[in-house]
Amino acid sequence: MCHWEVATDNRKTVSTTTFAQVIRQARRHDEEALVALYQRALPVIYRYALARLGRADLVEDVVSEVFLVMVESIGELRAEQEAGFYAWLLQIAQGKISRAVRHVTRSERRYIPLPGTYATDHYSAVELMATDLVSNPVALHEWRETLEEVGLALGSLSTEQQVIVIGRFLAGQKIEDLAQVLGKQPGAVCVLQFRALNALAKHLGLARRSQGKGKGERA
Amino acid sequence: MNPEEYLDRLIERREHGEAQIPVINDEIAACLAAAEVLTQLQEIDVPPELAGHLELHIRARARQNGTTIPMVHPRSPAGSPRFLVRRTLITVLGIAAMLMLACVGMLTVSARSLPGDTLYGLKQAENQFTLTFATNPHDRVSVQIGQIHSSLIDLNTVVNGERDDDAIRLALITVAAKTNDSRRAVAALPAGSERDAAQRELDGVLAGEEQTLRHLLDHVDWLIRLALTQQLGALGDPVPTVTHVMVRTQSNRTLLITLTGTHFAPNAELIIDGRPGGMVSQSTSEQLVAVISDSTWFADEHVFGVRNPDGTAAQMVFDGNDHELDQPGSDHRKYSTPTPNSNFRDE
Repeated sequence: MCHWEVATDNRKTVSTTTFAQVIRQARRHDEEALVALYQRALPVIYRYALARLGRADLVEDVVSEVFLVMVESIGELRAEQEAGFYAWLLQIAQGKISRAVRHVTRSERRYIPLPGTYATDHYSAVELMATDLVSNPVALHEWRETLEEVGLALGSLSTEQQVIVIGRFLAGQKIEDLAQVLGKQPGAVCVLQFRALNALAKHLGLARRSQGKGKGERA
Repeated sequence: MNPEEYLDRLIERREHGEAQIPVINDEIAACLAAAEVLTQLQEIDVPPELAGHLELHIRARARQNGTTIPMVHPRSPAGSPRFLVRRTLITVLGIAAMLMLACVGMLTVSARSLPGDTLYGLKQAENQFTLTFATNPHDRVSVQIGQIHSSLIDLNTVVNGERDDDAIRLALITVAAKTNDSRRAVAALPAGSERDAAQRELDGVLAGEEQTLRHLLDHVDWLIRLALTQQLGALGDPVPTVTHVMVRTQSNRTLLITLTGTHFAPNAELIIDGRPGGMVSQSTSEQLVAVISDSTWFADEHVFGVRNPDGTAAQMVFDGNDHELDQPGSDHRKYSTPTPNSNFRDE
């Protein structure tokens, strides 16, 4: 599967010791260490925020705020493993995203769009750089719809579940590492992951589709 | 193995591209499909402009935080007299620190200011302050020589930055003042190896000054050119001067202009009111003769100048009211030694 290969290729492994060193340097406000952390985490946070918000303008604000908080508050980060760093950053991002959503909701209550303009305006700013989608308007439209659904589905998960699925599938973290960060047994994290994916599948209408597919396969 | 662990094993196998094992039920298949959708998010690229812009912000903030002095929290119990005294002291110290930071900030900004900027006066005052606190004459000379160098950089910057003439003139006046001060300071040192060393240092800077001024001659207008020439003359360069202007009317409705002075170079041009004019008929190092049509003679007062091919220039004011021009063969003379004021008379 192409997507799974992309997932593994894009994440270069950093040893636990090296990552812990970078975190320690960053706590001393070392510029290069902070930039290294930022460069490492930017794609994850950006993709997560885009999935949740769907609007590039809001995403840029949220992502900027998240990393500025990172620089300001890195001294408060207790974890030294990458999974812990992502969990911490994702929690900051969740707070910023919730605030942005509340702000947009309040603004939209005051502004009633003309019929038929809402969907276009809301997602026109989404910038998907995947070249195969840009060149295919139909695929791009479908992708935007999926993204909207993913965003809503992610928003329905608990904070812990979001940390697990984003840490697992966007940041490439292992169940054992996530378990350590969350102070749980790996088995318990597996259960949370299962429930989160199950909930996502239901939100995305995948449960029915895969059931049909599964039945077809078996037949 | 429970379904949750089984699902994780499937996910890991897919991640590592290993051979697939059968999906035991629809629920797990749906979970795998959801995981795949999440993984598709990795196809979204971060806009490079955002990444670059944000990195700059982070670097700036990191530098700022790296220099921040950690806040000290009072340890005395709140409400106690010691605490109140301490809090007042901290407030006073805080205000003092803020004032100091503001002053340091202003001085930092003023250090980068240029002639014509609001804070340039502060920069000059700071230079004077530094000079006053130089511990011995030799240090004082070094500071002064350093200030020539700094003023030359300012001059170069204002000319290249196409600042207005007032700013350039102020920069040049500063260069001239620093040059004179340094010369006097070196001369006041007791004879000996220290003075010789200071003189060598000064000579090096003055050679740089000459080079800078000559380079700038090509980038300035007529009036600033005159001022630069004057400073080159002050450095001891052979530059043109005009000491005497004579205008003679001729029978063929032309005027014969004769400029007398020093260091006129071959192929020097006659400059009338800041512009090239007339036809030079004769030229020596001390005299330049040119002919102009009397139809161009429409005002009483004119400024006659000379411009050498190397860009140096001088000029002198001629007032026609003091003389009769209509008489063929009449001789109109005006004698004057150019001064800085006379060069800038028509500014």
